[in-house]
Amino acid sequence: MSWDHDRVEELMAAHVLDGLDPEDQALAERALLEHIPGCARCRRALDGFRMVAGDLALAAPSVAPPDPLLPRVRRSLSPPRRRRAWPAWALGVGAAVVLIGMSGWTLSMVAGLAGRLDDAQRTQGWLVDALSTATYPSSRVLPLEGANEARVSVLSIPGGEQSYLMATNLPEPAHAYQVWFQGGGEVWHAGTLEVFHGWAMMPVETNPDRWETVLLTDEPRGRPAPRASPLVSATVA
Amino acid sequence: MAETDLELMRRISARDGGAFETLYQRYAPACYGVALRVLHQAFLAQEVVHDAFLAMWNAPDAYDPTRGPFRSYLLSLVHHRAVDAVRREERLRARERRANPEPPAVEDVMEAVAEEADLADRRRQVKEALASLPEEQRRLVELMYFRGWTQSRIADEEGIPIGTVKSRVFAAMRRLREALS
Repeated sequence: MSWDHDRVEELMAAHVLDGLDPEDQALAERALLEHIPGCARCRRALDGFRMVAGDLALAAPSVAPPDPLLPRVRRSLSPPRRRRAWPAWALGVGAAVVLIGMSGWTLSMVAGLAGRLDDAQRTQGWLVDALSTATYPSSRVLPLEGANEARVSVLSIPGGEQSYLMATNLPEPAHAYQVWFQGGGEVWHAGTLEVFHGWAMMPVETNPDRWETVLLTDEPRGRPAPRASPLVSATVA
Repeated sequence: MAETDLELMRRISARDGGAFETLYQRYAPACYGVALRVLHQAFLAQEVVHDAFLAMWNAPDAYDPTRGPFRSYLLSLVHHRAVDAVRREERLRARERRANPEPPAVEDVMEAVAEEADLADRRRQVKEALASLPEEQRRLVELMYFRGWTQSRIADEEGIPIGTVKSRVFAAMRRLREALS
């Protein structure tokens, strides 16, 4: 395909503003791969447009972000630590009980806060974030359903990239509880849910709206896709 | 003398949390300001700013200093995420409106903050450049940038041919590039 510089430049002008419709966006991405790397003129044009697009943000008034945002960002920066099994650190004294009324049922969370301070602080961070999410006016609760007593939900905010899976009345797993998201032919293993006396919670780095189904299965770790029948599942509307 | 953005980014590449916090203090209000302007919802704006700073920390090498200033790179990162979020939000709201005709509450928190002189200068230049555009060009850039509308949506909503939208946006961006280079 031969590229017309003016046409490429016009595409890039709208591309950097995130204003292209899907067909033109596909064309722009093709130009970015096939033409721009080898064309100094279009590369210069694109760099100039990118600078404009970034700086246009300054036309909006500067606003001090809420104070809790920086501590939350700091927590997210921490390198992931290997999680110890809940029972090992949860046998000590102290417990935090968080009651969250959602969709006609009450979810209680118990987290033992003894042993490693790191673990306790991290869990407290999750609880605070989950509570903040739950109390946000447009928060959503996606209940996962199955033929058992387990109550499992995914709590999220539309557009947010962080959700929380919360569970109660979970039976002891034969292997381990695996959390899966599926959609568009993709399967994503969100993690292994560690259970303490039937209770569990974990942050999930996605929004359920991106997927078609959410599953909780009981099976060994390390599988690329769920093989066991789900204990509970939900279809994202 | 304050460290430059580039010096701070080099320290961030070496996993220096202090450098990260300096950049956060320098740019978080501008980032939050644009996210709020696009999204009009404080929580979503916080999510966007959180994710953008996290992306910057996780992949500092994604910023190429030969391609432009760090400020523009970071603000683009935030803007792009804000537009993605507002489009997702609009799809969800449309779904909600079908189920519940009550319109959702819209937050609009505005609290201007003091900022470093360089950033304040640049802000003034951007506002002047935008104000110097012909009204019909400026409006289309603002609809695209601050509302997250695509070219075809602008054409539909404004009742103008899509070719006109494309040419006006292109002309506006060329003028802005010239004014701000």
